[in-house]
Amino acid sequence: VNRHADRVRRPVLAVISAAAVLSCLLAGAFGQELLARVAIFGMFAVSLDFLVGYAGLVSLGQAGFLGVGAYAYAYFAAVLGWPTGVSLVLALVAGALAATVLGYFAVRVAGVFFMMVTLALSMMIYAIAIKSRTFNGDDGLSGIPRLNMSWIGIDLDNAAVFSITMLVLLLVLWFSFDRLVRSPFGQTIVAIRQNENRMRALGCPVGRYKLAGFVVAGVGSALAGVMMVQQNSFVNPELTYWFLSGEALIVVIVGGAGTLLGPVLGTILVVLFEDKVSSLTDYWHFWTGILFVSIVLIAPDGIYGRLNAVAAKVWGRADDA
Amino acid sequence: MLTDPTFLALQFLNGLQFAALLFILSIGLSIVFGLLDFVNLAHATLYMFGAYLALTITHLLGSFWLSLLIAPFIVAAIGVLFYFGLLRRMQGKHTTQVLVTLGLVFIGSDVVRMIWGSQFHEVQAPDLLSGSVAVLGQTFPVYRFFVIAVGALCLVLLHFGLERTRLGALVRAGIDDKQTASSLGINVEYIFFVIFALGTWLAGLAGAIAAPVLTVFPGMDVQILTLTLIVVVVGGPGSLAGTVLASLLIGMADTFGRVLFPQIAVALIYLVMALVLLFRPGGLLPARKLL
Repeated sequence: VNRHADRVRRPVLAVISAAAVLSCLLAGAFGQELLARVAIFGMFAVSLDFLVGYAGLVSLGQAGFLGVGAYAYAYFAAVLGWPTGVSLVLALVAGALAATVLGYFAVRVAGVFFMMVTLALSMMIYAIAIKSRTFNGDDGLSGIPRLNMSWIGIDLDNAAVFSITMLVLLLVLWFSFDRLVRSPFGQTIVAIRQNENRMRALGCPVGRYKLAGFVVAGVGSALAGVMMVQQNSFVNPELTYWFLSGEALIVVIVGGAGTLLGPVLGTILVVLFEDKVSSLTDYWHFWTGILFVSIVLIAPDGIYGRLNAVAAKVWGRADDA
Repeated sequence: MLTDPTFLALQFLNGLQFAALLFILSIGLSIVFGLLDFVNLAHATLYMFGAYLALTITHLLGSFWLSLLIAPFIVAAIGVLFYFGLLRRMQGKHTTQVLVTLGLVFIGSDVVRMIWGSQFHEVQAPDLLSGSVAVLGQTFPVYRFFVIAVGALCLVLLHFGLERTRLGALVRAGIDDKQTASSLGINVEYIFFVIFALGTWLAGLAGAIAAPVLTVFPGMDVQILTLTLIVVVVGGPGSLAGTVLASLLIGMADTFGRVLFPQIAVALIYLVMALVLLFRPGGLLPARKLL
């Protein structure tokens, strides 16, 4: 979205923040759980949006990197018993490494091929996780401790404190990505999406920039993974499965790719929808599928795009008068 | 074990059988992708429906042969329905195609649970093919030879269909250059439709054929989908020869990997794909030049 044409950025940010603060104050223990889940999925969606909406690399395997972060944190913190802070850093490094190695292959192809390659590579991570004895195969790892932040007086084992921390972390991540896409690096990434050949002709090392973007998104996804295992206190191969990648991609598109805030809106819609439906029926995949198909058909440019279209109409008339 | 020729021969046959199955499933996806520029993630879901329909029809009519005849047509009918209802509007929009067909995968996985339940099902091979034959002193199920034969038959028919018939020439023209083909008065839309229907028919056939070899369960679609996508990418979309080659490569790598290096078998296939993409980003035998 053109920044000058983006009229709803501030209102949406304000509404999301207000809703987050309000629900944090009003929610019970179960509501706090749900809130934290929304915030964590939001981190995943924002990271993926950087890749999809700005770099134009539509990844269908992002859950792979979420899984790498999750498993790495679980392994260091729960199996080896290392300090949680160190485990967090190592998990992000693991995410970066995995994204560098797999991205090296993936960014060589474009478009649909990129989707299929990222899908296959993430399924490789899934296959390794499910076969691995170190990671306890099918059953996964459990008993994963939350980050120890007692040294600054924060107790993450408290549900309300955890959900507030996750919301703040989402805000920080969103802000970082918002800065990043306006930085020279981010602008180069966007320019490559818009006209790769021209950028190459200008002497830009296109492949290296794409890989860097892929790694940044991988680290963001790994961060979301680390937070996800802390919330669940267990991790299993399901977390790396491509259904989760597809869900994240749909959240991004539904919210509005290339807007960073849109995917947060998409997350709120989809996570709350799935929470409601899965409490009503065993066949929640069915209804999620129906939701995906109908939303893609109704609002192909996403909720955020729709909001902007409405805003343009309203303000457009006001300007005329 | 590794040097035992009997063992290697049997594994080779197993690999060939799996490659034949992968070929029947992948060629539909590959041609639809190559010609229509359409990514149908629900292709494997149609395959799963083919397997379940074979199960039910065999049960109802008592004949696997009838189910082999009927199931693919029902699957093709479902595919055509979706083509007109949803998919036709998404020409050229890859992300939309992926998302909508992913939604269909979600829906399909629950629909089979609603109709057939979550349990695993077995389908009996017909009497004619249910025995085993001796291969170098070991027994090998006849049905697997049948799968190989069907795969070979599909290959021969598709080859002649594409190379020797008028429709085949039109399809090749469409894959080479859609715009020029349609400006020469070829009804590209009609060819798209025929190809899409054929692709879904093949998916249904693959499912029905696979039912007696593999177990029928919800999730059998996703299990084979990634392998199918790898075959399409490695072979080069829209390329018959490429799909054959990639099916053999992936089928053999999967089968031999499982018995020789069980720990890294799964990673082996992805390694093959990574190497192919590294040296030939458009696939082994691409049907057309990619950017």
